[in-house]
Amino acid sequence: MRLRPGQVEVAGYSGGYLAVPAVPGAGKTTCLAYLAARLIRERPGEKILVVTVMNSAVANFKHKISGFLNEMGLPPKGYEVKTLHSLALQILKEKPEFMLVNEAFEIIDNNTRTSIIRHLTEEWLSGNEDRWVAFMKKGRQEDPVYRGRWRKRIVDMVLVTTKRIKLHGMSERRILRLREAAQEKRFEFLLWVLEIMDAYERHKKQDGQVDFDDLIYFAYRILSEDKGALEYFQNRWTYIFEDEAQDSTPLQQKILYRLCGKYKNLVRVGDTNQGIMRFSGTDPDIFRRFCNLSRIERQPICVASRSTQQIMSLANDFIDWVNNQYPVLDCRSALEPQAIVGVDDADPVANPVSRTFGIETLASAGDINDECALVAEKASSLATEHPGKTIAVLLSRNDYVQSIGRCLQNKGVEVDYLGNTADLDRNFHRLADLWTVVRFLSAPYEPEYLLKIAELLAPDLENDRAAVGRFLDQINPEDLFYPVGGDFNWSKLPDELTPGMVTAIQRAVKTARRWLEMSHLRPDELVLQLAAELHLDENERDIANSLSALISRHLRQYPQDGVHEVAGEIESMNSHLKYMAEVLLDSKGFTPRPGVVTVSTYHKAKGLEWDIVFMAGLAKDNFLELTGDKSISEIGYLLEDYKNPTAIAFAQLDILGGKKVSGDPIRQAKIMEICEDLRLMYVAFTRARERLYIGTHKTIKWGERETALPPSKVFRYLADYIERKSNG
Amino acid sequence: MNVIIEGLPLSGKTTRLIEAYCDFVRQGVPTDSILVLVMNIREARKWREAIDIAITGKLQILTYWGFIQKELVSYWHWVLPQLGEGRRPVKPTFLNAEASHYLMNLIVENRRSQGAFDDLVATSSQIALQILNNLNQAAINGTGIDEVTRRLLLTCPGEAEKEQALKDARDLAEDFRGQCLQARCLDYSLCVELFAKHVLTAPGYQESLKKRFTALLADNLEEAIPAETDLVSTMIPFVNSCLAYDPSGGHTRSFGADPVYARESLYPSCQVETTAGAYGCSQEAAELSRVLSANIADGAHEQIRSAAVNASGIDSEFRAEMISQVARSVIRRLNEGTAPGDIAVIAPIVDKVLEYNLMRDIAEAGYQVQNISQRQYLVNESFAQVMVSIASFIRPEEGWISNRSTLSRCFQVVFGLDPVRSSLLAAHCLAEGRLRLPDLDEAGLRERIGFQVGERFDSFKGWVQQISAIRPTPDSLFQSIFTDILARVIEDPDDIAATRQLIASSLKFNEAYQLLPILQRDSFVGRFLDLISKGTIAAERLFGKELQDEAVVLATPLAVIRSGLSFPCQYWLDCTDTGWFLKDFRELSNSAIMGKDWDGRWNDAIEQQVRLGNAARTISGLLYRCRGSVTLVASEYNNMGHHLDGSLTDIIYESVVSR
Repeated sequence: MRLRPGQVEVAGYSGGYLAVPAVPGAGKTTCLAYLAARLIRERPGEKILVVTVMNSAVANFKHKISGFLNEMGLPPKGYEVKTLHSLALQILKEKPEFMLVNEAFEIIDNNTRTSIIRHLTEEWLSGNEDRWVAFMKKGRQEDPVYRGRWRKRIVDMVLVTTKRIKLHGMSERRILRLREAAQEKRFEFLLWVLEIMDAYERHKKQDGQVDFDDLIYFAYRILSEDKGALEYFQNRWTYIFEDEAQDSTPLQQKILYRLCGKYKNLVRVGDTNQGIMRFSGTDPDIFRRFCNLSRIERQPICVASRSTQQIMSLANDFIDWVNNQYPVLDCRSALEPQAIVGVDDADPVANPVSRTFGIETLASAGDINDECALVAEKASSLATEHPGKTIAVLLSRNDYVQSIGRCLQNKGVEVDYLGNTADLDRNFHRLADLWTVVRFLSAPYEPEYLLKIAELLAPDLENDRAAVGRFLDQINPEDLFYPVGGDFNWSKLPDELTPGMVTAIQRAVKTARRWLEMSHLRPDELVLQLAAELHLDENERDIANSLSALISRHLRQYPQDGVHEVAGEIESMNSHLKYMAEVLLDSKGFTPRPGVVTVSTYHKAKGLEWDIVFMAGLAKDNFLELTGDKSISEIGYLLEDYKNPTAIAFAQLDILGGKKVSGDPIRQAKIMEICEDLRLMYVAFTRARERLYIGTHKTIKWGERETALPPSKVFRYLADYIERKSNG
Repeated sequence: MNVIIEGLPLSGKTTRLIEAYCDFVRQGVPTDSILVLVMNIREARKWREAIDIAITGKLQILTYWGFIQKELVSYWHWVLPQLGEGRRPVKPTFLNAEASHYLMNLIVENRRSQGAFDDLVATSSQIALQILNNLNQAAINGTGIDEVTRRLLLTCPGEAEKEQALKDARDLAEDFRGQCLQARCLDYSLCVELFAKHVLTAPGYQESLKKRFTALLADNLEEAIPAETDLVSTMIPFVNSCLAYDPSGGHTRSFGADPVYARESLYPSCQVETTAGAYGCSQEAAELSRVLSANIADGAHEQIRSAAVNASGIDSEFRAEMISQVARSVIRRLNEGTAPGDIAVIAPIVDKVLEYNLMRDIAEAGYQVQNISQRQYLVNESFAQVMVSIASFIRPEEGWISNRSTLSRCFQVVFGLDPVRSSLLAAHCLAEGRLRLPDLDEAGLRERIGFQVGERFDSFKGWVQQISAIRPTPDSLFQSIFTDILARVIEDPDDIAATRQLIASSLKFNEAYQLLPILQRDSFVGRFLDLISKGTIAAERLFGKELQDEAVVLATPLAVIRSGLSFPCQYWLDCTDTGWFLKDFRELSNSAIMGKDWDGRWNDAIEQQVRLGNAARTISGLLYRCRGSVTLVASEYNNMGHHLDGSLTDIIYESVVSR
């Protein structure tokens, strides 16, 4: 393998603390994998732990390390690659009793956590109306619409703030003291969070459950308080590599420090400029500070072959612009001044070369929908012109992503939606069929399920849907499936149905009847049987298996429940199934397909690359630019001083935690938001290999009203940059 | 003469014991003078079937638990005066494991609502099981609950939250014990304790044993609890005995087995004969068992060249793929001529997903799979559900409501209704948030469910009203349901067995109900239906079923070890699951420090030793039952999408050099 400057030095690492700030496309996975293989070869018997963020990265690392070991003639041994959660789970499984956790603990995923906290918050809201209504402006307090919105925002605040409290590793005792202090100081928002958090913690304990944040917290405590466990895990791994270190949390860093406490071999690789996961509690400053510690060796990797010179220059210039010219002084440090450098001529993988400048703007005169249409038009024609190229359209919001996806599909372009919950239905659409059948079996006498089951079993129904619907409305389901005195009188079917459709319906009734005969089975067995009946593929069967396991878990608590009761749990179980689907999708990774347009949010695009990238929606409505602008985190119907409750709760937490809180927390929150948006833009630029299109729109619609909208500062900077370069 | 037959699994020890039994009988010893102690009910049945000699009296083939229950009844007049003030029944009432668990669960829930176990992440049921385990350990080892708590506290110095939880656990154990004693209701731990304290050591008891027994046969002493060993030790001086001991055993340590105590107590008084070889495994598997045991338990790094582990295992990312691959591999072997009964698929947890998918895939190829680890619960038995539903109609004031699925099933069975109409009728029974049999005409249901069924429904409704008015006693309630309603529609012997079991359980539970005030806080029917619906009572019918030779076996490691079977071909599934490395210690209990020989030390090294020792014993136990080879099977993720990290595969592959 030919290593590049920076990679050579990293690959030569033999021990100690090393920080590797790496630019996008620097080949850090390959470099780390190579280093791991080299160390395994040179130090047999010692073991390496690689901690990364996504399951897809786990698979990628494993594949690369075993590949290098294979080239070296060695078996695939001597390393473990884990996500932080799987590492924490391993630690907790070793010592659950130490944390007073029963060994048969259940893990609740983030989706389930959200739904439990939502439920508990709703309960809290119902019992504490006076408290939360008091923060609404007069005139809004009685309005059910605004009250409903405020309730939803409180749920969001609770979800985010509880995560933050957990990620700081506070013990229960400390949380209790925090609550007392919050009460004393009348820190309302934080107090609400702590009250709901208390109910949530109780709920989990009584049900023997831990969530993902608990996993990390317990792992940290075990390593901090149980010397034997610490020693066991410290001895297990001689070297620890952390990938995507810019996405570290305070607790993650502490865990890694403890794990490498004996051998003191820790390599942290990341790019502060790609720290865009603030919503999940990460803090890019952790890695930034690590890089700047005097006792740490620092070895950047700045050479990358991903993009054309033009795109690299843009990314570098953007950093320069942010550092020196961004109008909010406090945001100028959002990006580290770390320039991307192209590879030399001898490198086997050269940077792409573009004959044109390759960076263009696309400004729509209308609103976001018009922009979507414009971008779809351009992307569609590029897909036709360059069938061998990969293309992505990136937007800031999921609803925009859906919208552009529809526009492209209307033009006959094949679209890949990247990792959002809609993928559960798209990638595993037969699961919805499974739910349809379960619902039908739970109440087979309900006419509303009849048509759905007919649509499932007679997919060609489309043209005859109305006629069949009318027919089903007129009969009792029992007369169709179990007619008294023999066969059903099929002459009752509407005359307009084709003979083929009549046969299809007769077949459907037969199948549905077979399923009805299964409805007495234990529900965990029933779903497995239905999965087989519906011919689910292997991935869908994995999700059906997961569902069956969930139902088994439910039946341990409610053994007498049957299909009807379990059908009532579908919603809560669905949230776990979404998690399972995410694991499945994530483990497979995503490879852009030539000729197919990927549509995604900016956040989800991280870690990927395409030949052509569209950055759409760069208008002022989607990005916060100045601290005087209104943030989407601000709530207009709340009293002026309380319009960003999450920011205030965070500040209250910091104050009670003894942190120095300077300035207005609402302004501080805006600075954080602007900084992250700037990094998000940087991430987006650096996804492109050859061409970059930057789109904006000029109006915004509020119902029938359309008002003018200026482009974002980033768009204006880009337009200016393009003009400068074109002229120069 | 006292003999211990020592040998590995399936080396012929039980056969030797049965021969000894027959010899005793041939020599004129009446069968009711020969006490046979076996490990479990299945073993007792195997013994009864294997004894091929004319019986000269009642067979005394019992588990230790069965034996002491009988003895406590016989010598109750010795025990009762020791129990202090309270009821003076003529015989004790016994609480089975399920009823004990139910009772303890009630106590835990009650105390939890008052703030106990505030720091524990565990369900009340999990807490209840651990407290029961502590009581059992205290009785088995003759130490008492205070000593158990003292030992547990020694393992967590300075951990205030855990100390508090352990004290809470002790208080609950004492509460439970107090209630049982007061009611003269004996759970397993109390039986063991009372037998040891007031019967076994009573002045006249040895004489009584001497009079009644001249011979003793005890199988699987490596799985005996210390109290059982003490009984055997007591009898050895005056009986002829033949005992069996497997030095590789001790698989039930977490339930109290103490093989070291058995060995140290009994070997000095007996002549030891060793059985040669092990018929249940190949030489290669036995050798591999030795090496793996040392590598796992002692951290040795010995390598062995062996064909007992297949070089190519099955690795997959997700579990569905793993199960499919195992099924394909099994089918290939079957098609190549391997007999189904020669294949065992073994997993630390045999869940529904594994069972269903494996059975379906293999059934599609025309073969059968038998799950020998399966524990069926009465609540899942169709006819038990029906009885529970009908009872809830008869006693609506109990506040116990059958759910819609159960009611639907009930109407299918009682009226022969189809699933649509029965579901419709069930929905109407629960329409107003309470349970009632609707007026079919008012509800507009008569035509929809059919006029004939309507008539039967009306008659059923009349019967319910009539019985409700009589207010049947707990004894007669389920009997009436069976006689008046179900006897007409029930055909399958398994279903008849389920209804019988439910009736018997209700009678048995009623005995405890009448005695325990905590149960009486709710009505009998309410409590009993709650007990059933919580799935606490195991269905017994499956225990009676024989293993089929023509089916592939699906089992947990312990079920394989207890089955008395060996297999040329074993698949070890979920090798990345930590379930292969079972612990004896939990947040409120620790079987590893309860033994008579505990030296007061507990630290991480010992913890690891215990855990690895358990894994080594399990692996070794399976290999001693392997006549061919093992295929290791693993997936990266479990059913729930969580990453698996167990190291069994690594340890084995590092130990074995394939041929």
